[in-house]
Amino acid sequence: MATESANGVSSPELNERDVVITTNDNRNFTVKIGVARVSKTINNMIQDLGESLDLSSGIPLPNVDGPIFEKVLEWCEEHKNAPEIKVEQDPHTRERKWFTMTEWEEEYFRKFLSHLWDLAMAANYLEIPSLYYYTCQKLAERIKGRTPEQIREMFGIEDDLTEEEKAEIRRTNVWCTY
Amino acid sequence: MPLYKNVISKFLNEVLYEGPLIKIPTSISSELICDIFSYLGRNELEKCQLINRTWKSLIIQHSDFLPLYSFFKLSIEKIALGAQLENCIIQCSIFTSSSSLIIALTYKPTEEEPKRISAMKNYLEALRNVVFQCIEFHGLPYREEERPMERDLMLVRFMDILREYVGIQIRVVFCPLFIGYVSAVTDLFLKSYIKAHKVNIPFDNFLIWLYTSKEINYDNYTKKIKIYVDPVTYPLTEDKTFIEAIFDFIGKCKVAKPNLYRICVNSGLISLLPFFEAWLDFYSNASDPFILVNKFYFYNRRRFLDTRFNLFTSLVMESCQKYKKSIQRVYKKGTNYLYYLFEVKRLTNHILKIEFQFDLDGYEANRYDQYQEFVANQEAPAIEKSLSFSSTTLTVISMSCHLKMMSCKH
Repeated sequence: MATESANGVSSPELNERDVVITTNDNRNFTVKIGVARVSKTINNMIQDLGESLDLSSGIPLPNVDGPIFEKVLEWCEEHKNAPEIKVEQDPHTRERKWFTMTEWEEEYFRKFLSHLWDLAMAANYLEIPSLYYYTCQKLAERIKGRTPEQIREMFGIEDDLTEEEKAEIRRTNVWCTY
Repeated sequence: MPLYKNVISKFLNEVLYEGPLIKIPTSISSELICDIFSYLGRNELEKCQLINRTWKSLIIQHSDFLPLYSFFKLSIEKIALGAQLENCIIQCSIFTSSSSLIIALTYKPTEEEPKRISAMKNYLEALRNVVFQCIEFHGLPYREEERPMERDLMLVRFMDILREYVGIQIRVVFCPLFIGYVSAVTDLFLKSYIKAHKVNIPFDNFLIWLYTSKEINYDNYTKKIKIYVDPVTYPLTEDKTFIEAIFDFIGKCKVAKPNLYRICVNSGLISLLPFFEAWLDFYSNASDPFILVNKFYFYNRRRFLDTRFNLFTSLVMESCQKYKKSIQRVYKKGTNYLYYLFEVKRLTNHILKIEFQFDLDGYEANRYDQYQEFVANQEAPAIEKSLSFSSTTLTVISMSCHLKMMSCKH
């Protein structure tokens, strides 16, 4: 295959071209540049490489594995033309405002529920704000209203606090109702 | 299904998590966990501290950035001054909403101060991670002979104590202060307040009670001006100066966006009739009334039976006819205080908003029957839901009378 260069090609045209992305388990994904660019990390790589970008030999992603990247790509495909999300917080309580998700997004997270942490980490590394903040919100949603025991069971966390430590936490946080 | 199954199922749901395992990776960044925490309320965060040591230390380490509790009000209710500045009592109440009292704190420093402060420390610790929508100081004696200066210094000192134990974690969004005529003390207090909260204090909602009407002080700290007219030391007879001072403020307001300010007057209605006349004229003839101060609040304790109020309502009605405004009246009934709201609006923007509140408190107990009669007489306007004087519906004056239960022992 002839080596193509990203240089000198206008952006809409470039977006339609394919780029190969290699994950840390050596899986190759052929992705439209327009879709890959939802990730700021990949977009920066494409821009930085400029002339030297070899679309066929690909971009390596040493911190993401194939199965997770596949899920991320699904998100990118759906959000390729989506506007940048706006993260807002309550000016007084500093509590972050919850996003309203579309039916597609809700279904996406239902489908990949057990991979929420991996998705959040991948989205953080790949700099996909929409996926990152939405996944964080989904994780917060899982925490909200559940007891500490349920949360530990859900996330597979070891309880390393002694009863004395827990009593101390409850004593100092007098408003806490748990 | 037998009934007990529901009970068991409910119990199990509380104990067990029934969803899939969402295994947390071992190499998770604290930034990611904190981003998740940012979506949770403070109560949830306190709960998360009980998960494990890592989560606990993360929440403690990042508490400067994580969400806070939001309580309605910290009310400092009693500051009784003794012979010395040190010998005083401060009582605080914390409200989660406008009416529910959570806790009352008492601070009484004496020669045993360190011991007492230590006892207080637990209470004050409870104020960590709280943002109050409002801090109010109540029931403060304010007569010259009672050394108001010391009272103000006491407040400064109290804020210092709060700062010492609570640090920057307590934030106040709205703070009405009883500020005396000693501007140096005012400055001291505000500086202490700024110091206590270091940065990012929204001063937009500061509200200051001023005790003298002759000097309406305002500065960049405030967005609302409250004018307290003490009926004893400052009787409102034919006080032209008072009216002039208010209009001087309205007319020559040097602050940015004066329409965000609110003028609060605590007084009888004796000299207010000429004031309203002037005021209606002023606003009706202003080239752009939207940019002027447009919210007025009149608070009158124990004098709600004042017949002058009826004179005022008829004056408003007449003026509305004169200036071709349309009127909408809303009337609500309760049992113990009287609240009137007159609103002049264009679409959603206020041209003018006047609130009246007449309280019936313990002092008024012997006039409770009279009060009931007065309330009964106020029913009349309720029937007239809407009186339109103009087809332009440029402005609407709405009048509402809200009566609320109060603890009147009679």
